[in-house]
Amino acid sequence: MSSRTVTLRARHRAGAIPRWLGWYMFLLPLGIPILTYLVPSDFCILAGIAASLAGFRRENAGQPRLGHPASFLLAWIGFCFLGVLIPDHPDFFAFDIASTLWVVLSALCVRHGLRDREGIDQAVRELNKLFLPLVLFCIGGLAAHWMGLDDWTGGVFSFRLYLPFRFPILLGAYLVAAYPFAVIWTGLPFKRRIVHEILYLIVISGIGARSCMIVAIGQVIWTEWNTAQDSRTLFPRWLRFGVFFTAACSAGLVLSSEFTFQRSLGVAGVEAFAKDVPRERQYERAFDHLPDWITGIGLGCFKGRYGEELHNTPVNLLVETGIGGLLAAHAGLLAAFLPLAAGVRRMAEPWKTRVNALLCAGAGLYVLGLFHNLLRNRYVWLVLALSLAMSHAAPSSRSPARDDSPA
Amino acid sequence: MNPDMNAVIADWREAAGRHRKWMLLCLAAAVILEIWFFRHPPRGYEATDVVTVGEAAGEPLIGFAKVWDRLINDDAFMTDVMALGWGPASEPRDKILRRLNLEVRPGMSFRMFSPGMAEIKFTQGTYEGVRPFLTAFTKRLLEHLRIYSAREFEKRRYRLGVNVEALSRKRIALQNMFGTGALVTSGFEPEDQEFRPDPERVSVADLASSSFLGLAGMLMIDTARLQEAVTMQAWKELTATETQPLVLAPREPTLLTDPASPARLVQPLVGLLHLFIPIAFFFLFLAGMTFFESAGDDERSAAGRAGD
Repeated sequence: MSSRTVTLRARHRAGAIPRWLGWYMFLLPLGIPILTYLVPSDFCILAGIAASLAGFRRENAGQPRLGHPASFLLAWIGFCFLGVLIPDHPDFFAFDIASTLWVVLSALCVRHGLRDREGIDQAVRELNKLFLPLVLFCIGGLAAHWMGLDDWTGGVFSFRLYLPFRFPILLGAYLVAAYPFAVIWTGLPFKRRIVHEILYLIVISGIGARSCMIVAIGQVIWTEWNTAQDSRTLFPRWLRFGVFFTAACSAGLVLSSEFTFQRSLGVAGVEAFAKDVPRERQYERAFDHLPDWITGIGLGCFKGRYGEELHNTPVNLLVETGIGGLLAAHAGLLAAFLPLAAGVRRMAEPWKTRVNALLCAGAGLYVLGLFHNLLRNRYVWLVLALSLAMSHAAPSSRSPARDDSPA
Repeated sequence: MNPDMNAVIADWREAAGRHRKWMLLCLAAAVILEIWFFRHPPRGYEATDVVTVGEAAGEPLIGFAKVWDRLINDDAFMTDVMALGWGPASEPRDKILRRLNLEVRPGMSFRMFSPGMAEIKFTQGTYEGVRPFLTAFTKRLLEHLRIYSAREFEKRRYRLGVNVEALSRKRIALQNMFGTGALVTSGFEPEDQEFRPDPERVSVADLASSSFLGLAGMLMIDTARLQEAVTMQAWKELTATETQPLVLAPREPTLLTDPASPARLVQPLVGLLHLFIPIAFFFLFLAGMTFFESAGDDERSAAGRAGD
């Protein structure tokens, strides 16, 4: 009891985050499941749930005032339970609803663990710790591939080039979510930023997904367009935009066509820029369920019926959770991000830049979600939790003047 | 229960009490959806009938798919079946045809278990009318199948009978042409249970002493006899009346399943939906409640700021 009290009290210190949250953010880039769906960082959430429940009971005494985004989230969970194909695929539904509730719970725990902006900054810094090592690790994998490691190992190593994740797109989602925090949030100086951007584009090219490359190019351009650091003095904004637009697009095109090694090795089975037959088939199947769009077919039931996921998150929401689910999910997203987007102009540095990073990550993941099913992706829910925390977090009580100071 | 937990429950109960209309709305929506899904379960009800198409000598007499396509697209036939299954309709013809095209035809399907056996399935949103329609449809379908298969059987029987006659005449003609001097092997009759092939029946010496013409005649007569025996065998199989082989492959189209078997749910676990509907609306109620509470807080704080 005494130790718990100490932990809870310690958390209220400005800028301090619970230990479980620090470890969670640090371990989040390690995405290999070690127990069915659970990755290493999920075990930190178990501690977080206990701490959050204790904190909730002590501090909130069960006030049913969770804010508009949480209301929409609850509504969306409600719509998840209405699905006309659930009786056909109860196993798929059970897995998907359990894993979805798990990531929602994780996001709520993260949100609950972040009380002030300094705490959010501390959590993001924990997340950033593994970004560069992971990027360098992936580039090492790429370099090994280019040097012929696959030939030497008989192709055994090639499918592991997206370590520490299970699938290439999970690496892509992590990079898209983590890049803005590692580069924009921290306010990297010009030269380091450029190095990060180049490394980012190279690693993204290795994933072999067109969507990832498009989002990465957009994020790099976003970074340079919105960066308020030293580069402003070197070039005018329009010139910076033009140069980076051209450079990023060229790099993206070159890297995508030359080095999409996952696809070139035949892992995906199609050319990088070929016609997308699987997605066309998925959309046809989604439209076959047009009469079911009112209540949806049930979470996970598309995969249960066709053996593949629908690679478009909004369409997947529409098909599986119905019109109500789609609207509730988007209302929740808007409720989480609109206050930030509306208030970003009035914010002082460095929080303006940091909110910019958050919006960049959110936009990037949304665009990526148009090409993949990211409903149960932990980074999506992390960004959502951070945006909710940012919307409601009070400025640090430690040094109010610090809010207005440049990074 | 500790005091904290009591306070939490009391808080939520108090908040729920403030939103009774929303609670009633959710409750009403849940009840309506429960009743709707009870009356119209997703994917509906289905009834199946298994029929044999009618076989002769191990082959189906007619192609089932061809008959199916012919009948399922026949508006007159289908409306007759609707009248037979559901009773004569007082609705105008265009409404009957609309129902036929929107509800009945999309619900009809079949699959072949084997070349001579088909499963017919009829699916509808509600329980009533599924079995009567399918029973009527199967009855009329069997009538058509019987007519087509009987006609086809007669055709085959005639063709084979003529063939047997022609081959017999050919064999007799050959025997007469070559006369008694030709070596004629004894014939094989399918009914002859004692028959065993005996290559030694005709000695090499006999063959050696025969004339060239005699040997040629023997070869031709044997070939004709073989053709005649095979055709006769086919004839006997086609016209067999023993019941044992006909159980597995009945000549006449037959309904194998009991027409009294009731329609069943397409989704056997549809009860899960009835369990999940209250859960869904509980979450929707919570969502509305927290939304209204937050909105109320916002209004109060805005009013407080205006008052200051």
